[in-house]
Amino acid sequence: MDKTFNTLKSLIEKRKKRLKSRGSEMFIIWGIVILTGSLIRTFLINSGLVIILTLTAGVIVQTVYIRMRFKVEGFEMIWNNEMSLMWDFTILVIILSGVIFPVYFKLYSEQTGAVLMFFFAAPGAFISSLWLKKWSIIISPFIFILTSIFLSLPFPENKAFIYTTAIIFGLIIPGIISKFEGHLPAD
Amino acid sequence: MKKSINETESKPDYYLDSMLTAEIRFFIMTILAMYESADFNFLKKELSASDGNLSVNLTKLEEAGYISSMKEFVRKKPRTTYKITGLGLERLSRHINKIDSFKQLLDLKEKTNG
Repeated sequence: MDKTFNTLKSLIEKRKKRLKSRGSEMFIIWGIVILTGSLIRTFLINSGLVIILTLTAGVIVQTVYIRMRFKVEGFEMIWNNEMSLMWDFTILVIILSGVIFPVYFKLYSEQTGAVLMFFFAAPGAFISSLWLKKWSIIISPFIFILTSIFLSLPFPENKAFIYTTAIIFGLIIPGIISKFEGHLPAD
Repeated sequence: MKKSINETESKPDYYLDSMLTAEIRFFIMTILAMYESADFNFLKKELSASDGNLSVNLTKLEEAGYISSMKEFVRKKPRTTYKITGLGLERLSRHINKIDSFKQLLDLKEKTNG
């Protein structure tokens, strides 16, 4: 009976750690993709199209990465379905509110678009942290909301610096911290 | 001899689900309930089970309608992925609830005797 209980306990523990570990990687991947896009837009091509292409590339990288991991490891978790769908939807909302509506339809200013992009990223990060039960990621939505508020103020001149800081502190660093939180030595 | 779903359903309520009383099948179901899907090699590694034992028990669960499988070829090698079905999830949950209610009954008996 003890053996059964221990096996069950070990299966549950492994699953918990795998779930946490996978979530961290997604935050790091998204952080790197968006940071690259942001730097390209700041220093090379200043166009709204760069944001659309970057976010689309992020969705493709996420899908390919998840498929690749499934082939290697042999299991699928929440990231393969519910959470991927939630992020795909969030990205679509961000593209529409942050680029398509302000840049191509001129419904509001590009600054408002930037505010909305970070504002809509916050619920996605908040839901992810609750789903993954990772408290190191809970900082992410607050960073995005703070960025959103800061960008709505009239004075910020160096927006590239604000974007970069928000991505590093809102995605990459929480991802790295939570990677250690979810480390699984047995794997 | 295949164990049909009706055979399990026709038993009185205090009976444990015979499909889940075997330890390996219970563990397979637990894993598939925790993951979206899992392939044969993953289950084999997690349960430290032999190919034959795992394969026989997976077939039994599939025939009972508790799990579903999908076969595909990855780099020319066959690969089977398993998922728990709605029926399987319901049966697993019922099985665990029954064990829990037995435990509560035993605890009560112990307290009464004590």
